[in-house]
Amino acid sequence: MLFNSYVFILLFLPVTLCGLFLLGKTENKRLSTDKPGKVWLILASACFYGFLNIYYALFLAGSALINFGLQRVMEMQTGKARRRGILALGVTVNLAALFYLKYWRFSSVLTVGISFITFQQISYLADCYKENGLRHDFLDYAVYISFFPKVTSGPITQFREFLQQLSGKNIFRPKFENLSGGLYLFAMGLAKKVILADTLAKLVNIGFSNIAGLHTGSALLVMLSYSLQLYYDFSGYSDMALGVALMMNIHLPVNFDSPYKARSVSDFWNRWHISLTRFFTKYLYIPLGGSRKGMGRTCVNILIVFILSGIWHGAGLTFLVWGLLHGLAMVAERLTGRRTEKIPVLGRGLTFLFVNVAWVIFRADSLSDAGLFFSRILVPGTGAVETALAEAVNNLVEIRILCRLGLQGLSDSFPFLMLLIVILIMLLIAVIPKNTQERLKSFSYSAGQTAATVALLFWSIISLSGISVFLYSNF
Amino acid sequence: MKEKKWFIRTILWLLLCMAVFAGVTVVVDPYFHFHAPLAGISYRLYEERYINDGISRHFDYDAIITGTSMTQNFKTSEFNELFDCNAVKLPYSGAGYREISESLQRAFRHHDGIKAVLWGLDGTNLIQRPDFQNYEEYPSYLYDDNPFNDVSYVWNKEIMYHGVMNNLAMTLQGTAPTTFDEYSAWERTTGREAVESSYARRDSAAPDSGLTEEEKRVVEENVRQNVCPVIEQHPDTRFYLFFTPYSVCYWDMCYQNGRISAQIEAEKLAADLLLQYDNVELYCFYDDPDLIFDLDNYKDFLHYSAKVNSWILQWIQQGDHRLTKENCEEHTEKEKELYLTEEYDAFFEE
Repeated sequence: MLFNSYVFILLFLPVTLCGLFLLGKTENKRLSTDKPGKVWLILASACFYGFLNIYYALFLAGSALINFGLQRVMEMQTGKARRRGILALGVTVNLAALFYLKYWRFSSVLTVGISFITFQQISYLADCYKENGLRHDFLDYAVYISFFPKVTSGPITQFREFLQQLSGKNIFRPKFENLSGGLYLFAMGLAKKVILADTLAKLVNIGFSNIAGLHTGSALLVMLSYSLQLYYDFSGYSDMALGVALMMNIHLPVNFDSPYKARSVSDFWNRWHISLTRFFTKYLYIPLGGSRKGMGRTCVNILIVFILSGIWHGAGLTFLVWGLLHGLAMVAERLTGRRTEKIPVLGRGLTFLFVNVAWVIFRADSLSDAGLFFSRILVPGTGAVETALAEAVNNLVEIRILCRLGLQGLSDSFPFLMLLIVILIMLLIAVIPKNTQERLKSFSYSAGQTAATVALLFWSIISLSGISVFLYSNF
Repeated sequence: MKEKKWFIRTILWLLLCMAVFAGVTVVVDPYFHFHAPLAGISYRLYEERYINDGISRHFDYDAIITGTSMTQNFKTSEFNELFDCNAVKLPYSGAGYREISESLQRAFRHHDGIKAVLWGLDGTNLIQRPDFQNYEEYPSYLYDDNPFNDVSYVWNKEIMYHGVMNNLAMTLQGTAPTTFDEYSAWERTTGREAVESSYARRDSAAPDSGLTEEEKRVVEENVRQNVCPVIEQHPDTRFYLFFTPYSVCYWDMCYQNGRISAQIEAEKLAADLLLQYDNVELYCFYDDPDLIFDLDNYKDFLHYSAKVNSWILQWIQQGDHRLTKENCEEHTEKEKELYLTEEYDAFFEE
């Protein structure tokens, strides 16, 4: 199930919340157990995940049983070497499953969310290894690993942090403070995904399916559109995940912090997919020695992390090169002492440019496609692709309404005007105003916030489906 | 307390907005998904794949004109006069046989008293596996009887804008509703220049060959699964079927691909299957060189102009170019002679 679907918004979410709160409210005070609520959450997660494909739910159940079993065996061992051995076995088993399903047979069985699940299984085993006696039962663990707001796309949640939240009392009582904040976050995330990212996706798809037809202007616009699409798509998803979890009184880790305001590539990775950076730092970079073993070793460690990060993002050479580029940029910054950060405007500009270029490689089907894309930046002119991009924007219902309200003449005289304005607005939203987390902190229960929340939710819901234009080759 | 108030107020406002929006869509119902057109509202007929199902379920009619873009220019007014009917037009641009077949079956299920069906059978889709579908993002929520997925219809800004708002604007401006004569009809430049710019000739032609055994099976399955059941299950309905008459350029393409015999054999196979029904009249106009070889009748290598649609109605009403069990063999031979012996290179070098 997707967050941005009618079934999730109109049925699944309301039913899940009502059921959870009903179980949370009726819990016996003397027994003080949250078990019914936890069971309900696991069932809901199984529906959410199984709705995509029943085999996904079966895979998750199998993976959960194996990892929980390994953890229990590890817990019973007293010798450190044996515990370490079991941890190594567990990590290997999880990574082997990931490689088998994602890279070796990636064209036939691609299990959605497997990259995220694998990392969270590793976090589970590693946290339990580190702190023997991290007391939990199977229910706690099963809620953690299957928790539907994060199961398909993160944020990558560390077991220790999640478990702490499950151990409080009356955790599933409705708290209107959380319900309100969560709804606000969900509205922002949904709008980012449905209104911003999906609109940009149309432009990006036109551009990347006609790379050879791009020219300077369109290539730059498509590159920029993709960077923005990726940001709104992923951060929108994360906002929704955090919002939904918050409604259930669970705090998931923040995943984005205005990444395109970053002043260096290192800064970027502290703002983009933060939970992934934290995971790699805690479970890979630091165990490798981090920055404690001299500059040479530090640089090697950084490169290892980013190459693996590239592979984690996808099967193919493009992802590897993308990861390597980011690793090299990080190393260069490390060697020069992050000089760009000292001049904010220059730092932000250079970082944004670098990230944009790297995203082209990330998106392209092959390195030669990426090369072709970059070469088209040097070819001035306009053609069919530019017309298609302008039309895609001019045909948006919102733009058509604006045209009917009096902008038609302007749009006719300057056919690319709306395209440029739309992309400019989307860029400004990413780099100027406060981000969703900052807004949540200053949340004040005002009428204005009601209006904003209702407007964003309503606008997004009526944008979930459209009219497909049926193009017939002859007509 | 303010937290609780804020949350409840926000949810109530959202529900109110959604209720009003859905209410307007359901009342105006631009695709006739819930009810027939309301008196007093000017409806625009457009977007075939969104609107045809509603027309077939909720309009008042006793005859159907259906097919691909080859049937878009039929005028129901002419049809009604010639055949004494009250027809609706349900064209599906670029459709395979299955899509049209399913549309007809749904019309029969939801509507009684259908006296006649005029159905254009495209030769291009004849040698085609029976489950061929041209489109992926089909609005299937309009075509099933599941009320839950109607959410995609009632909370849809594009339908609100292009459907509801457009109809209301037409009504306010006093624009008349679209008639079935106008629905999906088009007018384009016809003639040799327009047609020849729509396809490219090759220098050489492949040797002509008939249908393979596999292709014969495909044609038979296609017709047996998609055409025969509709006819068989509705013996009281008269089916006027015709092979859509493409231009000589189409035959030239077959010539270049070595597929003239194959195309004619496929038609013959289909005809043999269809002529076994008493409630079928089958027509084929390829024996008329005045039609096929005159590029003034066409806008591209396939599409004939509206005047040809009018001729087709007259021919069918008079029984001209009708295939029967008796003349079918002879017609096939005539067609082969006409198209296999034509000097295409000379025709296009003129």
